[in-house]
Amino acid sequence: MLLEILLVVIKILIVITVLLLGVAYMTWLERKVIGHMQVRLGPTHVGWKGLLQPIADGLKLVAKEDIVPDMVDKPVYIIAPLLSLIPALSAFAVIPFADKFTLFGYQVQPYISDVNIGLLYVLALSSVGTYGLIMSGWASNSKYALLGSLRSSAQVISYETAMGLALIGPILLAGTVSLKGITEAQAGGLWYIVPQFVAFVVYLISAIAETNRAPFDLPEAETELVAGFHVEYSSMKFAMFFLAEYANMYVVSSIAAIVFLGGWNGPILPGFVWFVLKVLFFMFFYLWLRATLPRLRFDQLMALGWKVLIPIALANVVITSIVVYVIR
Amino acid sequence: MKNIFDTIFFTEIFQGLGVTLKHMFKKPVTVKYPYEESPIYKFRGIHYMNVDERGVSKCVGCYLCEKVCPAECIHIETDAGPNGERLVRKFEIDLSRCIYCGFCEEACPKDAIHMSDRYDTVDSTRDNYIINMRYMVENRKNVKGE
Repeated sequence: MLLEILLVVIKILIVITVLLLGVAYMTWLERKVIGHMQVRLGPTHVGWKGLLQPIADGLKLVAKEDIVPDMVDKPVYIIAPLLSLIPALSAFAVIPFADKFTLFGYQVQPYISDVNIGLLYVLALSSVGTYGLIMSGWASNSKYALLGSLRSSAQVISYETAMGLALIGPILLAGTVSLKGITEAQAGGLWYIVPQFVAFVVYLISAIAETNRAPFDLPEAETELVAGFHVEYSSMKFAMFFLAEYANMYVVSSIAAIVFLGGWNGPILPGFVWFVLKVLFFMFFYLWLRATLPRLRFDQLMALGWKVLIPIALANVVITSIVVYVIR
Repeated sequence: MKNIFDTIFFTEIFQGLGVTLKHMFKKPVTVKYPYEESPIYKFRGIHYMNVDERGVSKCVGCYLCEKVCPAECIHIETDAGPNGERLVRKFEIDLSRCIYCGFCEEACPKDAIHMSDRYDTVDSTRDNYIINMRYMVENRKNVKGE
């Protein structure tokens, strides 16, 4: 019993370490990719090809003074970044990134746990993450932060609906909400991107809006609001928001890879490599979109969410259920 | 009809994505300045002096560049030599006052003073900004050519 608990703790530590490293290097990749897309070089100075840049950035942020402005609501102000970061990281508890394998006669389960309501758990946690944004904007006592957090909450609540509805289609096909079950349901046959292509597109758009990234980065519109909800934050608290944003991108990409691209399924290469490749493809797509598209206006954003995506997702759910009912 | 098609299939967005992907594999236009020379041409930088075949500056001390200089940064003193010829005792340009207009170059009748393409005029003391004839003759070597 004790050994099992120890193993789980070790697994959690490994997953979080790898995730944070991935988050750090995603910032490097983002600057590099967007730089090259704008015919620039991106970071080159710190280390070979700028590879030590994220570490330098992290050290800089840790070494900075942690300023708490006078008029903030202190407890809420301190809790908000934690509320952003912790749900983003804990969503990885149910992400199955590799299949079970046998090592020295022991059955090793690489992912942390397989909850039978995995997808629901991830969706719930991503909603909890919104509270971090709302609280940070409210507690900062600054009009820009407040506007940013109001926009953010409106946006996340609208797009959460479309995202959940888009995920219902694959759930109906798989007949389970467990992420491992969904992965195994796609093992031999088609990946769900083929029968559920509409849901895939809706999910992709909603996911980008959900994580507040370009072209839906209204809450952090540098041109209008100074930086959005985290404008009053500095040092480690700012770093937490930053990590939370990228960790959320990873969560959303992993869900997309599992639900629509069949998770660890794939020929020749081992399962874990396939999973990482799919997730990295989605992450690259994020950066690609950021380098390409301008930001939407806020009314356009809300109109797209409510008038286009939600009806399409609902129609997709209805059609999928009818087809599944007829076939079974 | 085409408009509806474009909306449903995101054709324009895909065009944009194609453009950014194409740009990603182009060679970056960045010049890493302190490590690489900047590609510079037709630039009026720190002055240099042309020399005759003996290696002496072509300047004869005619004061034309001092007269034409709008910033009044050229200071010349001349003296009579033993054979009655004119010697240039002092020829100084105060680079901190110079506006790099190139009038001295145009006024010079003897093709002596010219402007090189050196742009690195930054220094830590003011004294180094006053350059003399020897410096300008030396500076001939730093011209990258037209």
